Amino acid sequence: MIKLVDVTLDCFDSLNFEIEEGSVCKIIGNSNTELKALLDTILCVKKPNSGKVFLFNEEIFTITNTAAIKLLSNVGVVWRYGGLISNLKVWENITLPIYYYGIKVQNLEEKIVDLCSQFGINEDYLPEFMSKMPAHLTIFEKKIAGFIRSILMYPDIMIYDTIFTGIEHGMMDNLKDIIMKFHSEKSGRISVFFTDEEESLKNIKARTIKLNK
Amino acid sequence: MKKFIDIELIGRSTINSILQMWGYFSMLKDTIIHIPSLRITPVRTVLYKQLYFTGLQSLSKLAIIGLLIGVVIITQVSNIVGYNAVLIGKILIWVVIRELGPLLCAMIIIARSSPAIASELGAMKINNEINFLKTMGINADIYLILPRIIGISLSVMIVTLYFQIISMFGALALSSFLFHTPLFQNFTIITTSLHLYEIIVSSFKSLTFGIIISIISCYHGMLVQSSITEIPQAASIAVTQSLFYIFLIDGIITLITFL
Repeated sequence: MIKLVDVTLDCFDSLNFEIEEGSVCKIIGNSNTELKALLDTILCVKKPNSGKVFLFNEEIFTITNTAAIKLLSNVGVVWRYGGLISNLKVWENITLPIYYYGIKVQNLEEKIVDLCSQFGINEDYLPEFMSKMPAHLTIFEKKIAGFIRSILMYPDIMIYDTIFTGIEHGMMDNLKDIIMKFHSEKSGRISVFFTDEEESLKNIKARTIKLNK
Repeated sequence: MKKFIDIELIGRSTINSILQMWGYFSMLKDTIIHIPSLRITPVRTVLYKQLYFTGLQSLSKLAIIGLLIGVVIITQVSNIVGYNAVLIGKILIWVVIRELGPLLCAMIIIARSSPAIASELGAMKINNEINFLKTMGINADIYLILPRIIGISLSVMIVTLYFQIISMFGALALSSFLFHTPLFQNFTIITTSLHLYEIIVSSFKSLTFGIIISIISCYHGMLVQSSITEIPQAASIAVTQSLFYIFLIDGIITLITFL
């Protein structure tokens, strides 16, 4: 569950909303700055000027940093530009959180190969893709790597930051199908789409929250 | 009226220095607390990489410098007082083990790794990667800082030991070749003049230097906020501060242990 109570940020006066378990939600902002401010608040990066933020029923700015970090391990985020770590190769980026938490994923390599093929990365290109540094990837490839990294963690909350922006139309439907399939794989999973381009989410049927100053 | 002593400026820089020292100590405290996290595989991977980049990659250059320093000491001492194996052995121990070894190795590591770490961490902060880690549930203090501090501290200690061995025994081997003196006899003189206490103090010094270098480099890298111009500033501060503190600590340790 994500819940904001009277949250005031530099760009918003009073934000109130709740996203229930199992739901899909679109959050439409006016600019990337607004969305980033809200994302940073939900993800415990920047404290709001006032108000309360709840994640999994915990008020995240009142718990310790270690507890908040642990809570966030159950949140998957696909960032606008992938959110990859620049000094790690794609393979290292993808497997970083699972190895960090010592999560045993059965047939890990096969699973990653399968996910890559779903995203249109063929087996010939796969070794090269996995050994690339993030700086040498396209935006779409960065998003794919970020998405696969989140999928492997099997989180309860998935957040997609302008996921469809800058992606070819042909790939959009495929990506949408993968997202919705992943959403339905776990009961109670929340999927939240952040965007400043409402048009890019027109094919997703979900509750819409429009951010107004 | 023109102010000759700017009290406000002195006060502000004093407060800044105290805050900076506080920051260094709290980073050291966090590192000690997080040491058990070295069992985490990706953290260990970063540690190995750090040991490789800071320790292993600098070994060849350190070996050459160490050998040359040993040769210079032997040549200079022989020029002044003639060839005296006992005196040369003692001077080698004084210079290479007690002082120059730890200090020179620390300076080489500062030149190689300090700006690299400060700018790498600074760039990661500007690219929002520290927050990406946090949102993955990964503590940047554990994943980025801990292995760097441990890696550099161990590296400085190990390369200093390596430097000292190469410098002393390499130089003696070379001098026995140049001055036609018995090699085994020179080695025996050195080993009998060398005490365990000197090795312990030297290792302690190099470990302390490693901790100082790594903490200062990480601290200033993590201070970078949002502008790319902060990165070279952080790298430059990391180098100058590291140099200042290793000379300061070297003086203090030498005074305490060898006076």
